[in-house]
Amino acid sequence: MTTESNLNFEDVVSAYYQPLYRFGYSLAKNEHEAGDLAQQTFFIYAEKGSSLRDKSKVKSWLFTTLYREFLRRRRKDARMDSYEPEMLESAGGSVEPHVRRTMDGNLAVEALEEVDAVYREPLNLFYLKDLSYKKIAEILDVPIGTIMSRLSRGKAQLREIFKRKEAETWDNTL
Amino acid sequence: MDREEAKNILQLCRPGNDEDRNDPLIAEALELLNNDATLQTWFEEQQALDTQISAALHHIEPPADLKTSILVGMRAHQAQSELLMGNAAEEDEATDHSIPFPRRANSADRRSWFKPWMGVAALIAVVFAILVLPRPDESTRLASANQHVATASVPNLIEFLAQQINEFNGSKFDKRSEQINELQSHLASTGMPNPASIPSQLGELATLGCVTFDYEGTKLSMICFKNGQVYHLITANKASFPKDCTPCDGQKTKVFEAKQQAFKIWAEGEQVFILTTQGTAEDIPDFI
Repeated sequence: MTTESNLNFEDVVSAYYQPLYRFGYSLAKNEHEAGDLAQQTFFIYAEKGSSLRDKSKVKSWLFTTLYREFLRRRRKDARMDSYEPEMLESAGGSVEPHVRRTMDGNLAVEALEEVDAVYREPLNLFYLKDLSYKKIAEILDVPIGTIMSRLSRGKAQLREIFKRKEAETWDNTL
Repeated sequence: MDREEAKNILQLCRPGNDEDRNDPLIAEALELLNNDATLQTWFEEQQALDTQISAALHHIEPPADLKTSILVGMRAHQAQSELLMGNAAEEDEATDHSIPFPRRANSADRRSWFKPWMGVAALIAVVFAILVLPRPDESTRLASANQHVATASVPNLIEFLAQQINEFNGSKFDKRSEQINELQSHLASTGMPNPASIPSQLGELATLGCVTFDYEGTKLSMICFKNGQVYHLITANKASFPKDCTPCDGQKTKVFEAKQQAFKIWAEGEQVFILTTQGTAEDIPDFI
């Protein structure tokens, strides 16, 4: 059993800031917002994490918190959407070009972008490897059976998109 | 478990992930691979794709200073918390670089002598609030420009505008443009109130569009600005503007809150302006 007195905040940040940033990035598609989401998540952890006594739950707690914070922001953005739908699109739109250039496997990332949103979130968490499908179900607050089904369908969709993109890339290089 | 069921389950198994392989359901499906070459081939293809996608996602690197930025932010927050609590000197865990959880103001380890007085003070405050203070209607608050909050009924015009804004959507714009000049030209051409001056900081923001209202003979024009949040500048002619909305003598501005909207009103020349946004009076930026 771990208590707040022996939870080392710096260790927690060191262990999880990278996967949290990646998850934030996969949701927001924006470097700045991903960094901000990670920072805000640790801030909330510092404020409320003292109630978390089981250290083994820190990881899923952090991912859940980041996901909820992302949803909270999107709900706020949605209020603006009634004025200008394109603002919301640009707020969480495409992968930033300069980030795309730094990635070796940008084809895979672009393919993930095209997967239906309902499948994209569990798929992103799945490929980040840090969480089991049971934990993913907890974070997204859906039953395990639903997560299994979404991962299965999402992967099938991803596979088709990936093959198409590979073919397109090949055509363009000819 | 048949092949199709196994496929569904095996998709949950990530390459090189022991936790997945130890899951009883996945372990059972993995057993089938030994006796089913087709399933084995399918699984290997899946694993190859999973490896490729997972590697791509792990190429997303956080900014180099993110960790430092998080830790510095938390240290600053902790320092502020301790300052507010007034017991920073008594903290004994500040001997290393680890960051403990900031303690809350009502934390159980506050100085013991302080507790009874806090309780008495809180009790007095509650009794005072119940017996002495008037009870405002929560939906209607009036804040004067110097931030003193008083209670008053919200004028009908403000209620009307709050309703219009809450029900508003982009399709209702009379004209849409990101250029304020185009919107002002449109208002001028239709004979509706056209702001003679726009607060400089507000004028720097991109616009969304404009729309006009008629409230019991008072013509109002509204230009919407965007800056992370949507702001509306409403203009009317002072002569026809209801007196209960305009700032009193000695006041430059008047602030109302209604239907989750905040309204700041001021007069300039022959015109009255209202700057409004979603939220409370604190959400209205200091544009004026």
